Amino acid sequence: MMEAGVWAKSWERFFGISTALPPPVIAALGMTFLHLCFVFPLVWVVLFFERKLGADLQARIGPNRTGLFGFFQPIADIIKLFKKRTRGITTQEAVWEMALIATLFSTVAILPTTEDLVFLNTGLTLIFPVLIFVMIALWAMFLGISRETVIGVLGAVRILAKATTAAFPVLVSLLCVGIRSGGMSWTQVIHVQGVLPHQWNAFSNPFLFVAFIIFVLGGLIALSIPPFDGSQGVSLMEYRAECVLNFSGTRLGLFYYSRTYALVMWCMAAAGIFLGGWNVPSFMRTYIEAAGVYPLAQFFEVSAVLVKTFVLVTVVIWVSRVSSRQRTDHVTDWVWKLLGPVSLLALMGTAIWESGVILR
Amino acid sequence: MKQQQGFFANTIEKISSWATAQSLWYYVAQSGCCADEALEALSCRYDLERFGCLQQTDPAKADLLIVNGAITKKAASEIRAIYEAMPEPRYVMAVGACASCGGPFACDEGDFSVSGVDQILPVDVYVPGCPPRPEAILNGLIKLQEKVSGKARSR
Amino acid sequence: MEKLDLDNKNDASIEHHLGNLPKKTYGPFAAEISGPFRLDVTFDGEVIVRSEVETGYFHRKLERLLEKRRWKSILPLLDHLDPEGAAFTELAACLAVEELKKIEVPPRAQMIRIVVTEMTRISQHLGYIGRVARSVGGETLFHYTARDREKLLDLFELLSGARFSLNFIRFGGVRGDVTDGFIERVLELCEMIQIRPKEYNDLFTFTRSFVQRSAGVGVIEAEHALRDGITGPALRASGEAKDLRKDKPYTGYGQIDFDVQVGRGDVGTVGDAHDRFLVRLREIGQSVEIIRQALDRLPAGSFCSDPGEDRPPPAGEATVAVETARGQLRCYVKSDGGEFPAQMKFDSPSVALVKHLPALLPGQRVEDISFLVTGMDICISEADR
Repeated sequence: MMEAGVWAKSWERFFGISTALPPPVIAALGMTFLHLCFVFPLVWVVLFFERKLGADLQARIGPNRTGLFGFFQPIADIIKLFKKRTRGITTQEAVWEMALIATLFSTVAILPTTEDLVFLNTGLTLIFPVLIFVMIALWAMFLGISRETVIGVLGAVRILAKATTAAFPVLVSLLCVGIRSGGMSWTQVIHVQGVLPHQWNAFSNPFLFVAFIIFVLGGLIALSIPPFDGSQGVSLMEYRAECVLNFSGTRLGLFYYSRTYALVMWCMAAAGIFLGGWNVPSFMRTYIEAAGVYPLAQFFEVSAVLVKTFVLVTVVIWVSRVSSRQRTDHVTDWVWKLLGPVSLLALMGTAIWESGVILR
Repeated sequence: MKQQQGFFANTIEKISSWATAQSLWYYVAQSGCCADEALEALSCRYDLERFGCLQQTDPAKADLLIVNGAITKKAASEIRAIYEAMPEPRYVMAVGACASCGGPFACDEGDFSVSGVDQILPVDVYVPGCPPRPEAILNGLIKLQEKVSGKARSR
Repeated sequence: MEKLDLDNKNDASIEHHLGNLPKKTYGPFAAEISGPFRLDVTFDGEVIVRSEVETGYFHRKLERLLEKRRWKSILPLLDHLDPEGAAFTELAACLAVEELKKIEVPPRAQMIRIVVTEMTRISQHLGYIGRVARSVGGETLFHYTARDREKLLDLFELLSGARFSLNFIRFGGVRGDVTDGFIERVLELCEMIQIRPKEYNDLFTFTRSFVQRSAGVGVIEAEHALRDGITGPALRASGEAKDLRKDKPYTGYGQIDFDVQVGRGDVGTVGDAHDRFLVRLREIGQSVEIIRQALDRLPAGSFCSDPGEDRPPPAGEATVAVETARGQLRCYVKSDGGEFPAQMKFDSPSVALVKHLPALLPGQRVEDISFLVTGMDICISEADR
C-alpha cells in the first residue's frame, strides 16, 4: 500500500486534510475538487472562446444566441449530447472507451495550478503527460480496431502513428528542461524559472526555445488536436476524430469535452514547464503574507498559470483555424525528419549552454 | 393544456429542450440547386453558426437533417438510411420547393422525382422557395428552434 | 509479392485478390463527395486500387419536362440544369433558338450577355475555390470567398431579382437594359475581385500544406483528358489550350482580347490538382478583364431584337456549344414549328468529369478522396439532368 504522504502533501497544510485518510479517498476528493474548480470552468471558457475566435477569424460572429454573447453555448451542446438516445456499443468498444477517458482525465492530478494545490508532485511528474498521450493513442487505436470497419482500422493506425512519432521529440525536449532544472518535479522546474519572461525556460536560452516549440507541436500532434486532427472532413466544425471514434450522444459529449481538455492540459503543462508556471513577483507574496490573507497568494499564482495557458491556447486555436489540414503521412514525415534531429540538437545545445552556466 | 408535471421535471424538460434547440448540429444532404443557397446560409454573411449549429459529416453525430433539393426515387432509400442513422431526438428540414412538395419536378409531370421529401421522412420544417434566400433558411431554423423548445405559436 | 497487372483485365486472379480487399461506399449523400452519386472504392492499406461510380441519383427528367412547356417558358426551368451557372444554360438555349429563328442579336445585348456570363463564371470559380479549400480543412478561405461571392450575387439581384436562377437572357437579347448604376457597381466589383487572388494565394494556395497535398496528386494527362471528353478548366490544366471563346467565338467574344489560361505545372506536374485550382484562380482575373472590355465597348442600341415576339421557331434543328465555367455545354434543339419544343438535349461538361473519376482515383490515398472529388468540380445536377 502506498505511503499516504505521497499524495497531496501540501494539501494537508492548505486544507487541513488529515493524511490518515486512505489514499484513494484523498485522491478521489482531490481530483473531484480540481476538476470542478479548475477543469470544468476552464474547458467551458475555452470551448466558448474557440467558437468565437474561430468565427472572428473567418469574418463571422459565431454563437451569440445562447445566453449573453453565446456564453452558454458549450453548456447547451453538452446537455443536448447527453440527452440523445444512442444505440448500445459492444463490450469491446466500451472497455477501450473507458480506458481512454480514464487515462485522459487522470492528468488532472498533475495540473500545475499552484505549489500548494498540485496534487501529484513527485520526481518524475513531467514525464506523465507524455506517458498519457502514448497510452491514449493506444486506447484510441484499439477503439478504432474494435469497430471492425475499414475506415476505423485505418484511422486507428494513423492515430498511433502520429503519437509514436511525436513521443520521441517531446521526451527529448523534456530532457532539455530537466538539464536546466536538475529534476522533473513541478517544484524544481518552476523554481528554477523566475517571474520575468527572460527568466522562463522558453526564453532563457535559444535551445530551450526550440524545445518549447517541439513540446507544444509534438503534443498537439499526438493528441490529435487541430491543426493536426486528421485530414478527412468537410470542415473543422465537426468532431470526426479521423473516423475512428464512432461516438454519438453521451460519448460524443464526453469526447467533445475531453478533446478541449486535452488541449488545455497540454497548454497548461507547457505553461508550467516552459513559461514560468505559477511564479508571481515576490513582493506580492510577502505583502499578502504580511496582511495574513493567505489564500490570495494562491489566487494570484493560479491566475498567472491560467493567463499563460490561455495565451498559448489562443495561439493554437488561431493557427488551427487559419491553416489547412495536412495529410497524416506528411505530418509523420516532418515529425520524424525534422523534429527528431532538431530535438537532439536542442538537447546537446542545452547541455553545453547549461554546463557553461554552471561553470561560470 | 399541458399536463402539469412537478416543478423539477418541468424545469429539466425546459432546460433540455432549450439545450436541444440551441445546439442543433446538422447534416446536409445536398442534392440540387438549393445546396448552393444552403452553403451561402452557413457562410460568413448569414452565418448559421450564430444559432449554435455545427455541420457534421456523420449522421450519427447530427440532430438535424437538412434536405436540399429534389429527391429522386432512386435516392429515396439512401436518404431514409441517413435518417435512420441519426439518433433521436432528430429533426428534418426540407429546404426548397422540390424538397417540400416536388417543385417543378413533381410527380404528375415527371415520374422520377419524389413529390416532396415528406413522402419518405417526417419533416418538421418546410422552407419554400426556388431557391429560398439564405434569410428564409435561417427563418426556417428559427421556427424549428421555437418548435423544439416548445414555444411554437403554430403547429 | 508480385505486382498486380491491373491493366490486364482478363486476369481472374486479380478479381479474386481485389475481392479480398476492403471496400467502402461513399453513398449518394455522403459529405465527402459533392453529391449525389455513389462512389465505390476498393483499397489496399491506404492506397486506392479501384473505384467505380454510379450516377443517376438525381435524374429529374428535365429534358422531357422542357418539351411540355411553351417556348417562352423553358427558360426558368433551364436555370435548374446547373444551378450555379444558370446564365450559361440560358445562353446556350437562346443561341440555339436564335439560330432556328434566324434572328440577329443586337450588339448591345451581346455585350450584356458577355458581362452576365463572365460574372457567373467568376461566381462559380469562387465557389469552387471555397469548396476545395473546405475539403482540405481550410475553412477560413471558404468564408472569405463566400464573402466576395455575396457581393457578386448582390449585383445579380440588382440586375434580375434573383441570386442564382437569373432568368435574364431571352430569345433575341436580354430581358432588360443595364443601367449606369449597375455598370458602375460592376466596375467597382471588378476592382475588388482583381486583388482578391493575391489574398487567397497568401492564405492558402502556395502554403506548404496545400502544395504538399495537391502538387503531383491526381494528374490527368492531356491525352487521357481528350479521350474521355473532358473540357474546360480541367482540360486546360492538363496543358491543352482549348477554349470555345477563342476557338469558335459566340455572342461577340471575337471582339474581346484575352489569354487562355493553361496549366503550367508551377509547383508540381502539369495537370495535377494544384494546376486545376490555379487555372480557375487565374481565370477569375481573366474574366474581370473581359468584363471591363465588354463594358468599355458597350454600344448604344436595343437590348433585345424583338421583345414582344412570340412566334415559335420554324421547324429545324440547331446545336450550339458554349464555354461554361466547368467546360463545354452543348445544347441541341429541335423544333417542329409547334408551340412546344420537339426535343431539347444537353450535353454537359460534368458527364465527362464523372466518367473520368474511376481512372483518376486509383493510386491515390484514401485521405485525398474528398479533395480530389471536390477538385474535379462535378455538378450532378447537370450530369444527371
